[in-house]
Amino acid sequence: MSRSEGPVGMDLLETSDVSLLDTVDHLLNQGLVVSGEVIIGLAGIDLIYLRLSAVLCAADRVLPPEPAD
Amino acid sequence: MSPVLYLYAMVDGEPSGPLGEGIAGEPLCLVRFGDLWAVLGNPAAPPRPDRETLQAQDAVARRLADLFPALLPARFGEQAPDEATFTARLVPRAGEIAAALELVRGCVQMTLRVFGDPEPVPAVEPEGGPGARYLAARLREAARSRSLPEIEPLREVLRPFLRAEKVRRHDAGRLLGTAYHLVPRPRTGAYLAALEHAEGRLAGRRIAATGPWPPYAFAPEAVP
Amino acid sequence: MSQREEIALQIQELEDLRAEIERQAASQAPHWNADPEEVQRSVARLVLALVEFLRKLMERQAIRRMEAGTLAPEEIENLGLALMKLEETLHDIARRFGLNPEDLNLDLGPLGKLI
Repeated sequence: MSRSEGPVGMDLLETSDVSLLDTVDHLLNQGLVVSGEVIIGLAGIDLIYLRLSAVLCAADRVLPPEPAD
Repeated sequence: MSPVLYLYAMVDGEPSGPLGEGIAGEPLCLVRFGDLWAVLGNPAAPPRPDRETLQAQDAVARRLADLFPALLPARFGEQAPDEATFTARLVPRAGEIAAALELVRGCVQMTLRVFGDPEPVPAVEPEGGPGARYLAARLREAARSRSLPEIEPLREVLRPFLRAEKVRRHDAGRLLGTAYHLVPRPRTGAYLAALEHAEGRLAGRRIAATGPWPPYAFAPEAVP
Repeated sequence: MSQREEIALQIQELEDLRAEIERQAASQAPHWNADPEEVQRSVARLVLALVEFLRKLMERQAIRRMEAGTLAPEEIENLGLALMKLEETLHDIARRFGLNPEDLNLDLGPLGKLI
């Protein structure tokens, strides 16, 4: 069996292993995510690092409820 | 390229054997973050997402899932430069991670791909002002993306064996969607037998089932 | 349907993972770089995409609260109108920079895919 070195996407076109596709789905689409990062740059220089997952939370879970009118 | 700390899983309970090695052959260790326990490794460089690496990580997750009473496998690529970074990310989510660990305790995942024709979408009477109708339409879209009424006859038969279900609708040609089922380990055989007998109830639709897997689809949502 | 056809369909389903795969292969976190030749348009695209990302987050929360029944009818109407208007405005501004709605779906890595 030949093994190519390219990204999984290329490999998949030659395989008939359904289970491999599920492996890819589980590891790339599912599973616990703790990182949520984006690096934004200009002219090839990284300038801003966003780590959103550590600060995102539903407001109605952290803020006191508003008084009824 | 520098070494990274790589997260394989969040776990609960004592391991019933040695943790073994990670995807780069590195030793795995149990690290505590507040009340949470994680299995970490330190590969020499960030792993590349190729077939062998993904299969290797699944093999690690499976081996670990057999060692712990409760385990949540991490997605590929969950890495950090140091433990402090993981602390900052994990501790605020301790409650939902602990709840997810409770849910998956003692269970395995079955992954079902559903093929065939979609059921027609029921027509809806628009109600309320334009803003309310807009949100109602978005709500219906969101609900539909997480529903597969087409396999309800199957669900009836499988329900006694399910602790939980997650559904993703795709509507991609004849691939209708995917159902992820959380099944208590001792009931796996009964689940598979029921699945085999029940496929005929689906009016020509077909299922491709794989598993058992570690419970990838039952980790808590990353975005609230 | 033959197994080959089923697999072809599954591959289609996973096509959107290619961007994720390439991103992961390149570095630890997604990098977004404004093209220096078209800085104004690139920056506009980034700003609009970030606002659209936040808009989608807010829309998601609005839907959750609507489902949970914690919003009054006027609040639902007002939120819906505001979200609708914001989306329209973003698309209008995008058009003026020669951008399509799809250009506003910046790849924000795992966060982007979860919205």
